[in-house]
This record gives sequence, C-alpha cells and structure tokens, in this order.
Amino acid sequence: MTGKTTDQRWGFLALISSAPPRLGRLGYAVGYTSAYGIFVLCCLAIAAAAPVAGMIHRDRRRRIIWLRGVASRVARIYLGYCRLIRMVKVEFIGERKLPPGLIVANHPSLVDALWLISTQPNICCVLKGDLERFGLFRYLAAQLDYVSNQDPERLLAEGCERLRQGETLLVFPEATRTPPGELPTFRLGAAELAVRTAVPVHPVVVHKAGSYLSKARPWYAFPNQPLRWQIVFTDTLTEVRTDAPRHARRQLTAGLQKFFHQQITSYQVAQRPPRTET
Amino acid sequence: MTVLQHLRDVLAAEFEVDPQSITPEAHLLDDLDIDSIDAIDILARLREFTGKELPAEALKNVRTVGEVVALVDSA
Repeated sequence: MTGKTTDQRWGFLALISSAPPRLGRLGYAVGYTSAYGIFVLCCLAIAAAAPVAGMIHRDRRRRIIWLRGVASRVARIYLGYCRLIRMVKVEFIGERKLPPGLIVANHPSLVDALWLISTQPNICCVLKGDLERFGLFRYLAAQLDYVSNQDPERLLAEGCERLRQGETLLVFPEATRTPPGELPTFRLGAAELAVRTAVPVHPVVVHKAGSYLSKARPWYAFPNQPLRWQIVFTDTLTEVRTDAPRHARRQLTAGLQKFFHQQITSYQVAQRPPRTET
Repeated sequence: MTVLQHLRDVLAAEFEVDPQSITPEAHLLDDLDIDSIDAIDILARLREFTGKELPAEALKNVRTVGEVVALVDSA
C-alpha cells in the first residue's frame, strides 16, 4: 500500500470538528472578541481593495461590481472564520442564486446583512443612515455604491435607479432591528420600490435564536454557546401589481408582513424549548 | 394663496380627500389616508409651490396637516 487515503491523512481534522471540546465562558468571550476584531479587519480589507478596483477597471459600474464581488468573498471568509471557531452556526435554506430583484428580509440581528452579502456576488444594500456616522462605513458605502435610508425621497429615487440597472437590492422593510420576541412592522418603502420598478421580489426570512446581537442585549454580554441563524430563501414573487400604486404598495406591504409574521411565528413554535443561557 | 390652501387643493385633487376634512388637526394617515410615500409626493408639490428647500427627512416627525404647514413655514 502506498500513501495514505485522504481519510487517514485528514483524519485529525475530523477530531477537531466532530468532537468539539466544550468551550467555557472565557472561551466564548475570547471567540466573540476575536470575531469583532476580524470583522474590523475584513472592513479594512474591503476598504483597501477599493483603490485596487480603480486600477483594474476604469469604468465606474464595473469597478463597483468588482468591489462588491470582493465584499461578498470577504463576507464568506468571515462567515467561514466564525464557523471555524464555532461562534456561529448559519444554515441557509432554499435557492440562494437569485435573479436580480429586490431582496426583502427581516432584521433580527446586527449581522443579517453580512450573511446575505456572502450569498450574492453583486448586491446593493440599503444602509441605515446612522451607520454613516462611522467614517469607515461611510467610505465603504460610497465605494460599494450603497443607498442610504436617511432621506426617504433619495432612498426611493436611488433604489429605483439601482433596480432598473438590473441590480439586486437588499432592503429590511422594518428599517432597524426588531427586538427578539416582537414581530416586525414593515414600512411602505420596500413595496414602493417593487411597485415602481416591477422587479421580482425575493422574501428572505431570517431566524435567529437568542437575543445576542439584537437591540435587547449589549455587545459585551457574550452568550455561552454559538449563535444560530436559519436563513430561508422563500419563493420569489414575480407578479407585483403596478397599477394603482397607492393601493398596490399597501397591499404588498401588508401581504409581505403577514407572510413574515407567519414564518417567524411557526418557526418559534417549531423550535426546541429555548436554552436558558442565550 | 396660503400653504394650507395649496395643501387642500393638492389633497383634494390628487388624493381624493374631502376638502372639508382637511383641517390643521387632521391626522394624515388616520383621518386622510395619506401614507408616508404620499407625504413625499406632497412635499415635492409644496417645494414647487414655495420654492423652498424642504428635505424629505423632516417628514419623519410629521403626523398632522398643521405640522406639514409648520414645517413649510419654518423652512
């Protein structure tokens, strides 16, 4: 017999992944702190890639698309890192390859957008205006050509423009994170974008266990277990009414909100009894 | 023509609101069925009418007809 089989050679990896030693409180505190540190590094890496994009592509649109590709890959690497150190468990369900359109998602935690960015090579996000206070985010948002929600009129105009250019736009219609245990209230803007542009609407339901990274809990109150997400890509809505826009946007908002409420409620019911720690 | 009068005209003509119900105390959404997106359209009309710069951001805290008028007057 010559050479080891792959199983033998990489068997030690199975040891790491199949029989994880229990991490204590300190282990999780170190793990989560490192996740924050790596997150900042990831942001800096994308920021550093922005001038490179300018060197590779002279055309503005191609430059943005290239940089969004980098951001998506960096988000994927970051997710990989968080999984590797066993701080997160993220499960994606359903078809992730989406044709251009409007991704409508609920927003239970701080990093929902990051996990969604990791699934799409070219995605434009609607960014909460408050985040633009941070210079790094403001720079990244400008370089990635994201849309701010600060001014509703500009949000509608720029959102429509992105969608008409054939981009994928991510919107959280609840505008900001909804505390755990509450059902989100959707605002009209997301539906208005769909009604004005008649693009496909992709509802993505984000389930998040526990309260960490929600508004209910400070960042330093680390949980003693991995954070768990289940991100469900549901069926695309292709026939959005575009006549009678006032009626159409209200109807679509109400319909989407009802659908998300049903999904969130049935998930909470189906879940195992919550653990005490998180 | 005052801002309130112009607002009455716009609401009655474009949004089929009964002019009688358009009082300063009237609540845009509950009484007049004017939602947040309609409010952005209406603000654009008021911008044309007054020639003032009226950022849509300011609409976030506006709930009644009187508050819209106050917003325009203070700009």
